[in-house]
Amino acid sequence: MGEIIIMPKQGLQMTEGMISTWLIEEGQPVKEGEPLFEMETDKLAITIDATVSGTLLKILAEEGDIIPVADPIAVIGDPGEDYEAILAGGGTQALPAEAPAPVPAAEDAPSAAPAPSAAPAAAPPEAARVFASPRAKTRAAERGIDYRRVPGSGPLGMVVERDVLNAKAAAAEEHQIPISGMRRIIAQRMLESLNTLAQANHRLTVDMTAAVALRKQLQAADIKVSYNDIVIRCTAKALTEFPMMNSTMDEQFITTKDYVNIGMAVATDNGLLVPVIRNADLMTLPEIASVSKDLASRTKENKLSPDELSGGTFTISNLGMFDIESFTAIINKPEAGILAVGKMEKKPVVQDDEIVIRPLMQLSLTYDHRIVDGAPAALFLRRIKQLLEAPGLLI
Amino acid sequence: MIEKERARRIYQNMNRIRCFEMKAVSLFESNKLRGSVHLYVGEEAVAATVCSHLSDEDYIASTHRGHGHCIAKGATLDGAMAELMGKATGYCKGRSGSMHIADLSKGNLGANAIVGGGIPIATGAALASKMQNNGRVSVSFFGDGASNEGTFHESLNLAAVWKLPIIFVCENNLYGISVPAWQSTSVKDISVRGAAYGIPGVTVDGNDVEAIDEAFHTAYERARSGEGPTLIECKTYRWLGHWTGDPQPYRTREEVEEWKQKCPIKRYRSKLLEEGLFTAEELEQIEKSAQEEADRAAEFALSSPDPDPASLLDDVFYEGGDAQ
Amino acid sequence: MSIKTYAMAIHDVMAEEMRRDKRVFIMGEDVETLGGVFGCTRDLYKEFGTERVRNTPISEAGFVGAGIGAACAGMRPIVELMYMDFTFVAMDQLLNQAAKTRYIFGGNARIPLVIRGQQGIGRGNAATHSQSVETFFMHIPGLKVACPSTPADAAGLLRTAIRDDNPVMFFEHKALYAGKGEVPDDPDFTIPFGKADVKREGTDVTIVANLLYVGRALEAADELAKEGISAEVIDPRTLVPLDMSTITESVKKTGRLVVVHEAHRNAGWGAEIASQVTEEAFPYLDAAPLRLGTAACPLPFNLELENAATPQVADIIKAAKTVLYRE
Repeated sequence: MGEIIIMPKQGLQMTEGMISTWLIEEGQPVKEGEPLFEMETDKLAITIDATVSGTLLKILAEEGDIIPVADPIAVIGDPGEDYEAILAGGGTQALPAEAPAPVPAAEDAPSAAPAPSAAPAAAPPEAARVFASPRAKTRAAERGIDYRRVPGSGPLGMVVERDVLNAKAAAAEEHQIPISGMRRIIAQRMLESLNTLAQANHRLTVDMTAAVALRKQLQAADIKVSYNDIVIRCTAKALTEFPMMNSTMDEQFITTKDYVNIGMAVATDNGLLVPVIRNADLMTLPEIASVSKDLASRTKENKLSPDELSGGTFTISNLGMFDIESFTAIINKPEAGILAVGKMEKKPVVQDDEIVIRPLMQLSLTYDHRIVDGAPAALFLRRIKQLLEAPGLLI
Repeated sequence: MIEKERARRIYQNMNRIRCFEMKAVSLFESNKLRGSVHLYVGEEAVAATVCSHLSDEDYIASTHRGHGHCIAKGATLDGAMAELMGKATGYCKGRSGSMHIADLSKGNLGANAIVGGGIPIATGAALASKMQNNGRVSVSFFGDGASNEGTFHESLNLAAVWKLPIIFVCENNLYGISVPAWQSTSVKDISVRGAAYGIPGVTVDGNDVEAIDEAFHTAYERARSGEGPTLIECKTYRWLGHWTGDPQPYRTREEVEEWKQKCPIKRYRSKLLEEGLFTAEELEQIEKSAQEEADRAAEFALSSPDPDPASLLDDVFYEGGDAQ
Repeated sequence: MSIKTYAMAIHDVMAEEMRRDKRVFIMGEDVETLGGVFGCTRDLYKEFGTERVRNTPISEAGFVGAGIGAACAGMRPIVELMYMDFTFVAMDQLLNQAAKTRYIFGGNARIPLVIRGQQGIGRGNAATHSQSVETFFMHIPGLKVACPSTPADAAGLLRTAIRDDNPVMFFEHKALYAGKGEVPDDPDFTIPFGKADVKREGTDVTIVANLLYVGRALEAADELAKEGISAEVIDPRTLVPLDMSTITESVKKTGRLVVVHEAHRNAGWGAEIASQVTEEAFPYLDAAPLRLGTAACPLPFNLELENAATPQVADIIKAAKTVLYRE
């Protein structure tokens, strides 16, 4: 027989994935439907089942490797079969591009537990027992390091001298956490964004008096919306008016989008995820409220489908709930801008030469100066302010 | 006829050996002496007669049945018995016991518990004597069994081609433990093996002091004059088992009794009286003092201290420089 | 200093010591007019005569035993064995007699005897003429065991051996005889027994080797250095007495030990060193000590098979990386 296992595409936007853990050892038998490996993309961790029964003849992609979609990662065949011959072509059948049964992590089978992003590549068979060389133990004792907390790089995950030496000197107060696939991808993307875009930042303060009033009116009608939903709605409208802020840029073109898909940054235990509210410009405020609530809760439960994590055209990040007044966000590539929303707070304001109390909120726009100059970006931000201060304009 | 003083020495040593061996048997039987003890009783004439020709400077190499050679070559019974009992006062500080007893100060290159093991060593001592041109001779004692070992043949050849001052003395006591010589050895007289190496070979009655003396005298002169080695076979008999407790199923009581009648000590005693060299009283005095010496040796050994375990690793190597 | 071959260093020391001490003499097979099959006694009979450079019959037990007897009787014999494989023919004389005589004599004897000869691979001599047998003589107490790897070590150790009042087994290597090196001219140049030589200093892994394998270990160390691995190469030079402290201190520094020798790997002397290091320096070890040695088969004649049976430079490199958890 002989079948080449490829990196399965999980969601439209996926271009590559990282093997986090092989669940079957090379040379071991595997049954169709049995969990074969765990993988991560920038958007999700998922367990992939075998699509064929046989022996896992060869693992081509090691744990930690990032592999483009549809590239071979393993070969399953009859025991003793020459995997190279299978790879070489001949009678091999590649997997369909879309894996037949990609099981979103933690969705069903408890056996296919969600891949913990910190799953060590070579954990000792018994968690309780940590192997360490005598020298590693001696060195750890000299440095006041608990060798059991040092990740081992020797055979069977044994802690050897270099592991202890590489551990931070003050390890008594520090801990080393293996970098998960998601963390690694976030790190890459953030760095790439800062390194490749011309990020500039504008800030202004919005008087939220009208927005507060609007929210109260809706509440009275039993419609629950958050201030963030109002920000999303106003931003979506502003984006329809400033297409350059709703665009992407590559080497040849700036591509503007006639649709507005707002990504909303959601913090999870494993890191930042950005689910997308599609066609936000076409939605009513209550609709946005409903969708954003659903997305937020499913994000935290790791229950999003891959497509729900892709396709955004502009991102809004809100840290007001953490008392942050204002901050600079990093653009979520390949978008052209990101809006950072601070805490709404009552503050004394001079109005008509009198000191009055108003609910104020700061907006901070990071935009890609390659695409948009300072003045149009300022106009865009001011437009959002106008809409928030006079939400009637939304109608 | 053997001159009086040498005759006295021979008779003394035969009696000293006999008394020493019988004392060793009694100590062994009373569980005061451990290990393998191979006794020379019945063969005393060979060692006593051969060694009567030798000075302290001449060398002998002995066998596992070596007490007789050691005593005849000049050992005190005290030091020998103490060594048999593993005492610190023994010749080898209790490290060697019966089977390896040695006293290099008297030219004794040691008993050797490997059959045939001492023959090349005696040959090497003869080589040294020849190179040093000091007139010393070596005597290699060995049994009928050793004459079938490679070292016997190699050493005879080596000594013959180098014309070394050595006499190979084979004590053919007719058995290698239980195996009779006729079953293990291709020739009736081992002495004929000398011819294979172009050296004289002679067989003598090993219980007859004068026969041994005559053959050895000739061989000794030959060695001293640089003509090379001689092989002397002394046919004799061990009265006791190979070791104390040997049930001896390989020979009859009658055979042993027959050989006891040929006791070399009684035989030489008669000869000495016959020749009028000594009076019966003089010989009795020699016998009595030999017994007393053996008794004292047992007392000495029994009252001697054991070696200090702290000395265990001493003398594995000589620790000094080249200062020999 | 003079540049000499290993064989000539041995030759010259024997000549110098025979001039210095009339008790010193050589005996062995073909040592006289032929000068030994490997030339170590070439022309010595012309100066010292055939009494002191003495051909023997092919009679190893006989003339080894004669060496013991002559040593007991005041001479200082150097017994040449054509191949150290032939020690087995004389094993009783070596292990039961020479090794034990002083001890069982209660310390009342000295045996200033040198048994020397060559061993090892390199000339296609196959099973009974290519072995490395030094380990046997390390097991039975009472013999000193020397194994020089350079002309200077050969000279210094042999002179020490000749002047020692104990039996010394002196193992030369046939593949080293033609190698040249600097040798001190001092006629009293000696190298004390029981002093290992650090042939190359390093910090990451300790490689202990003797005879031919000192050179191979140094070659491996050169290669390892290119990959940033610093290997310390130690030649114990004598196995009895054995300088464990130099080796142990090195392993305490590096944390890793590879022992490589041409002697068979199983129960070879490397096992003894690995074991002693493990006992003495366990808390310092970062990896189990590795032993490399000849495979558990008689040495085959065919060159490729011989190479397969014996550790190669690449094997030493691989072992060093294994204990460093590289690759």
